Amino acid sequence: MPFKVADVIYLISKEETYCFVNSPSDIENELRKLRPENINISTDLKGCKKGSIRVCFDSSLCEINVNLEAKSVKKYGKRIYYEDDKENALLYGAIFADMDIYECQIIRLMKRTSELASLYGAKSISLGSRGCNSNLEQDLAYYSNVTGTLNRSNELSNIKILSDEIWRKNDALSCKIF
Amino acid sequence: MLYHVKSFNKNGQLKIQEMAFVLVAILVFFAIVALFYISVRVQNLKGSVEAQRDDEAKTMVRKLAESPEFSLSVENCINCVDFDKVLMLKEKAEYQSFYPLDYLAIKVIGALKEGECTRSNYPECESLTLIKKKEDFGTPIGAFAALCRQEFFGQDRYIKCELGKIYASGENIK
Repeated sequence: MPFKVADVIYLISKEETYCFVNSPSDIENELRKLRPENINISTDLKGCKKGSIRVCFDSSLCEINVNLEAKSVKKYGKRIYYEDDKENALLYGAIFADMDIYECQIIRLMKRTSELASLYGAKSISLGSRGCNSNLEQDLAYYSNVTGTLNRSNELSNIKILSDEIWRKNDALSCKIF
Repeated sequence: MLYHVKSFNKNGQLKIQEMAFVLVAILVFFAIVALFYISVRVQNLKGSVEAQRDDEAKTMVRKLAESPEFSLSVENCINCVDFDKVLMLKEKAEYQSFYPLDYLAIKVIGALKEGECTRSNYPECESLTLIKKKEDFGTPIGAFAALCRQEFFGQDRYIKCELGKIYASGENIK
């Protein structure tokens, strides 16, 4: 997203143990720092504890399979999508959350994004009248419309393209909106 | 002999009476001490409960200041409110029910001009009322925050921050 939308909190059951197999270095480093009791890191499937939920990053042999290229997570035969920048906020959500809850939360987040985009659009118009033209109003109005009408996580890739474009435009401004 | 018995009875009665008085006095003394102790404890408890509620309310107001709708994202500034953005927030009816509050307002400390902030008088104004669901909203709890806005000096643009206070009141803030 071009601006901060929300903080994401993950609650994982103590009863469930996850085993991340061949996870990318940023995820591995993050987990090693956090040291969650019920998330293990392994380089192969054999290293996972019995009964743990295996999360594969380079194969589709686990209960949860992450496709980093397609930015999707497949579990129990269904696929959900995520989009992230540097932090893996939505990726963790896609891994840990129930699929329906994840899709619902994505819609909620996008609705809030839509309202915030509309708010920044109004701010842009207001600052424009005071001598600070950003010309971001139309982009933000379109962005607000697209994010507000998102129905499923597979539409996130389109939003990512728009987000990056708006971020670039704002970053180039001398009078930044966000 | 009879006289002696009588005298003995009288002395005994007197001593019993004395003892009774002493016992009553001791009881009264302990009752007073107990009452004093209880009242001090209750006062302390009231004080700590009020302090705890005050802290919770202040934390809630600070959280509000850090939410994306309020926070200044241009600069890396903790507890800074984007006043330009919040002015626009006032015009958005959707946010009236977003926050579980009866009253939410921002006041500029040391504002040169009085009055409610609108697009026409901004930034020369004193207060910005975002939510006012009812007249009788109780005593609002306030927390200080930096109110920042985009300012212009000729061709130069800069962020100007002033001291402000966010006031909130509602059923969730008790």
